[in-house]
This record gives sequence, structure tokens and C-alpha cells, in this order.
Amino acid sequence: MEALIALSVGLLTACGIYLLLRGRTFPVVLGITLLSYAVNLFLFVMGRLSIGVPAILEPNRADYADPLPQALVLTAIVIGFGMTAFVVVLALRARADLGNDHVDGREP
Amino acid sequence: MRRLAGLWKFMPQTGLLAMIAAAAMAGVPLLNGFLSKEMFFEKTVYMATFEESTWLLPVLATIAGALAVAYSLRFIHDVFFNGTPTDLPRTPHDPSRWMLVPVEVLVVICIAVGILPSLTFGPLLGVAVGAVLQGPAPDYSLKVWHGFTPALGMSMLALAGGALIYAIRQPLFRWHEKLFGRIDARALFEGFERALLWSSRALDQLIHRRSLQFMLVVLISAALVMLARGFWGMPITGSATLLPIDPVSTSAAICLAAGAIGTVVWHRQRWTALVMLSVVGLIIALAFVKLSAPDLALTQLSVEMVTIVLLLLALHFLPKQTPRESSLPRKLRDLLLALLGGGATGLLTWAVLTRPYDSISGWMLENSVPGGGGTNVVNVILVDFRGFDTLGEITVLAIAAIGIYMMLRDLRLDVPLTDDQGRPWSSDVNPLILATFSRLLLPLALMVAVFIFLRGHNLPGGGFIAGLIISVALVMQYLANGIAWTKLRLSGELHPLIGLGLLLATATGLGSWYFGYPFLTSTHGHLHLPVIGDLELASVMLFDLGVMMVVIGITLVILIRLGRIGLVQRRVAIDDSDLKR
Repeated sequence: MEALIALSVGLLTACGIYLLLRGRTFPVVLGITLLSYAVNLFLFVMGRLSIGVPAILEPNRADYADPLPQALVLTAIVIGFGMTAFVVVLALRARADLGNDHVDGREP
Repeated sequence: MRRLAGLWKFMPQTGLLAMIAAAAMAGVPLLNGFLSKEMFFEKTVYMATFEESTWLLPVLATIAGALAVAYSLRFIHDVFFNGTPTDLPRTPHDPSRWMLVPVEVLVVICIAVGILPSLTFGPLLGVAVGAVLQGPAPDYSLKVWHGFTPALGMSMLALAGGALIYAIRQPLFRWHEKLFGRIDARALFEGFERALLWSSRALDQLIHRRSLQFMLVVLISAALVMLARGFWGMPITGSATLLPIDPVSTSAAICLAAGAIGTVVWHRQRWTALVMLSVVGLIIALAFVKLSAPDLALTQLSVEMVTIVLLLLALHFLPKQTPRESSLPRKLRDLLLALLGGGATGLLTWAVLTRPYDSISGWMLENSVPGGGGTNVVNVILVDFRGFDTLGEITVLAIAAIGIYMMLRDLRLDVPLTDDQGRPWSSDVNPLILATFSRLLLPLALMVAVFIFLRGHNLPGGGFIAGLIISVALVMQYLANGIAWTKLRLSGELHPLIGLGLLLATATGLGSWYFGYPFLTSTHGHLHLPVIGDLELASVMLFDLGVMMVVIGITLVILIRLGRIGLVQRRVAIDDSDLKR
């Protein structure tokens, strides 16, 4: 299972970086989204993998999924949306004011 | 200063004040400088008794003290005495009353602190030390006479040494001239400064090429180099026992890989890429379910929906296809960087996951019920244990929302009337079945949101998720019924919700001050209602309500304003005075 997660994080990062390096705004936004998936998954598994373990407290149990990375990643997901939205609107504004959708604001 | 001399005759008041201040700086007894210098000397002696090699410290401190005495003496003697002034352009005189007052105040403080330190300065020092150390201050004695201590001896030695240095200054000046006379410090300094500026400009020109792509390449490469340097030579696989791989997870991972690779392969056909991207988001949500994180799965699922709607809306205003413009070498370079970056993070993840680990969450698991009054530890951490973090995070969200709001104001975008293959967009904006069902679903969706919000403290849910569900429910109304229809029924602007939510969360935190507890302290209790039953009420529920309002505000502000721009631009005739503004 650990190998599967590590491969997924690696693949998401690789795809994210490739798209991040494209020249037009929309692929860059896609790349940022993929990268944030990778980062969230990476942060989440820092609490190690736990399958079939309760996340809610129950009487007379000692093994739980680690709640701390979960709490951190929960806000990270929402903030990630805020950031994606900001970049998307920035891209729209840049296209409106500069007349093209290249990341440098001018056609190559 | 080399031209000044004998000013005592013209400026006696200034001279007196300067003499006291200079004496304080030199560390003359009964002035404040003596106290601080004695403390400093005492510490160096204290250090020297610990380690033999630090005997140098008291010696250097005494020499430094002597130099301070010498320059103070030189200042006073050269300026105010030492003959008469020769070639001054005008006759000097004392400055006006008001210019002397600040100096007088400081000199009076010098004397008062120097003579009665524990009465004047003691209380202030106690408060400052307590604030810095966050606890009781260590033992210290603040008085002028400590008896014959090594520090007193060093003070006296420094005074005498300083006087001696001043007395033999002429031979010292000559010696200095002979040794360093040819070296021009200013030229050295300026040359060094020029070289520094030149090299930074050269580095700037090398890296800063007004191209985001190039700078990102530099950034990612630098990150990779640092990663490799930090982890080079470490064993990759650790000793922890691994979990078995099951077929379902493998197929999910294959779907994820297909989605991610599909997004890259089809990134020119932007609609297709978006569909591929949504596959990845869904698999991530499923992974959270599998890995015992129901809260994260709920959040990821609802964020996924609003993200895809947002990207669809954005795509409406952007070109539907990306032109082919990257050359082959550039593609290969990017591919190499991507593979290196992906490989590095993959290896890092593997290295961490295969190592045993000791969580710090034990305290939170133990105190969640007695301290926070909730069995959903993730939510208790968010709104209670780490409530300050969450407050900061919703503040960041609010700032992003303000930025978005401002960028969307007066935004003029050309909206194509046809799609990229020349087909006109359908004029049937609101399909009947979707519209009818969305209206039926709204109360149900809102009820689910309230349910998720109320149970959030004990079961998966909470403010973030409830806010996202409400947003999705309302966005669905806009999508299915059109903006004008929805706006008639949901009047009022939504962006004040962001500020109100932030205010509510902050006010909940401030409320605990009223009861004499630190910021954001929580309390909880039970409320028994007929029919509904036992309700767990916690003060953090108000905080969570604030979080929910901020989340609803930011999501709807972005999506609805973007949607409205499209409507205005397509000049759909809608009888809505607000839209004609």
C-alpha cells in the first residue's frame, strides 16, 4: 500500500510540474491543481496509513487514525481552492487587460 | 571635531549636559552607564570561571571599556576645552530652551538611575525581564555598591586605562598613521560596495528574464538540488511493517494515474483535460475514505465540485485550446524536470512511510472529550485545540476573496457566441428537468448541511464541509435556473457574509476574555430539547458557524460574479435592474 501511495504522489507531482511549466494560463492552473492534490496527499500520509481504523472516538479503543494531519490537510484543501480561484481570476483579468492568455502577458 | 575647541566659554549649558552624558557612557560611578558596565563585566568574569579558555573575555571587555572612556574624554576635552576656537565662521551659543529639554530629560534619567537604580528602574526591568523570559526573573541585584568585586576592579581599571590612552594620544595617532596611513577605508568600502552591486545585478540578469517559465525552471531546479543535497546517501527504505496491497486500491491507483497522465496528454483540448482532472480529484476523495479520513473525503468531494464548476466557468472566457508552441528541446527539458521532481517526492514519500513513527496526537485523542467536548477529534482540533490556526486560515481565505472581488470588478471579457467549432451556444439556458429537480433538492440539501454542521463536533462534518455543501446547493440553483431567477429569490449581496463570518469567529474568541480566560478558550455543555433530544452545545459552534459563513461567502462570490459577467457580456435580455447597472 505504501508503494502505491508513493507512486501516486510522485506521478501527481510529475504531471503537476510538467503542466506548471507550460506557457498558457489554463494548463498552469491545471498543474497547480494536480500539485495541490499531491501536496495534500503527501501531508496526509505523514500520519502514516491506517485502513479500517476509526476516526471518531469510541469507548474502550486505543488505535485511531492520526487526527492531526487530517485537520491540517482539511484546511489545506479549502485554502487550496481559494488559491486556485485566485489564480483563475488573475488569469481571466490578465486576458481581459492584456489581450492574451500567455503567462508572461505577451505572445511569444 | 578637529576644528572645534574651547566651546565651554560659549555653550556652558550644552557643555555640562554633554559632560554628564559622556561620563555615563564611559561608566563613571553614580551614573547609569556604571551599572550596565558593571553587570556586563560581572557576566564576563562569571563566564571565565566556567571555562578556562574564556579568560580572554574579561580582558577584552576591560579594553573595550577603556576605549569607551578614552573617546568620551576626547569628545569632552577636545570640544569644550583644549584652547580657544580659531577659524569658526560665526560665534557659537547655546541652543534654544526647547532644544535643550530632551537632552536634560535624558541626563536627569541617567543620574536618577545611576544613584537610585532599584527605585527608578527596578520595577520596569522586572516587567521587561518577565515578558522576555515568560516566567519569574532570575536573582539579580540592582544597586550601586556591591563591595570590592572583580567587576568593580575592572571598572576602575577601564577608567584609568582610558585616561592613559587619552593622555598618550599623540604618540598613538602617529603610530596609527605609520601603520595604516596609506589605507583609505572609504575607497575600500566603496569598492566593495560596487563589486557587491555589480555581482547582484549580474545574478539578477541571469535569473530574472521576464519569463515565468524560465523562473519556474530555476525555482524547481533549486528545490531539487537542495532536496538531493539534504537527503543524499540516506537509506531509502526504512524498517516499518508495510500494509498489504489490495486489488481495489490498485485499480483506484490505475484510475488516478490515467487521470493525471490524461490531463497532461490532453492539456491542449482543455475540456477533455478538465474531465481528466476531475477523475483525479474523485480518486483522491476515495483514497481519503479508504485511509480512515471521512472528514477529508467529504471536504475533498465538495471542494472538487466547486473547483470543477469554477474551471468550467473560467474556460468559458478562455481559449478552448492551447496552441502548439513549445519546441521539442523545451518539452524534453520540462519532462526531465517533471520526472526528477516526481521521482524525488515519490522517493521521499516512500522513505517516510517505511519508517516507524510516534505520533504527537495522543494528547489530543485523550483530551478531545474531556477538554473539547467532542468525539470527532479532527473537528475539535480545528475549532478548539488549534482554533487560532483556523482563524488565521479563514482570514487568508477572506483576503483571497477580497482580491478576487476586486479583480472581477469592471472586468470586461469577450465571450464567444459560438463554441470553438462554430456552433452557437444553446439559447435554452435552463433545461426544465434540471430546473425542477434543483428546486426540489434545495431544501433537502440545506437540511443536510445543517445536519452536517450540527453533528460536526462528534461525527464527520463541521463548518468547512457544511459551508461547502450550502455553496454547492446554491450554485446548483444558479446553474439550473439562471442568475436572474435565483437573484429574485435570493436578494442581497453575498460578500458581506465573509466579513460577518470572520467577525463572528473573532468575537467568539474575544468572548472568552470576558470570562477571564485566554483568547479562544472553549466551553461546552448539554442542552436537552424535546423531540430532538440531547444536544451537545459548545462555544466553538459559534466559531464553526463563522468558518461556515466565510466558506459560503468566498465560494459564492467567485462563482456567481464570474457567471454574471458571462450573462452581461452575452447580453441576454433579462429584466433585472441589478444586471443593467
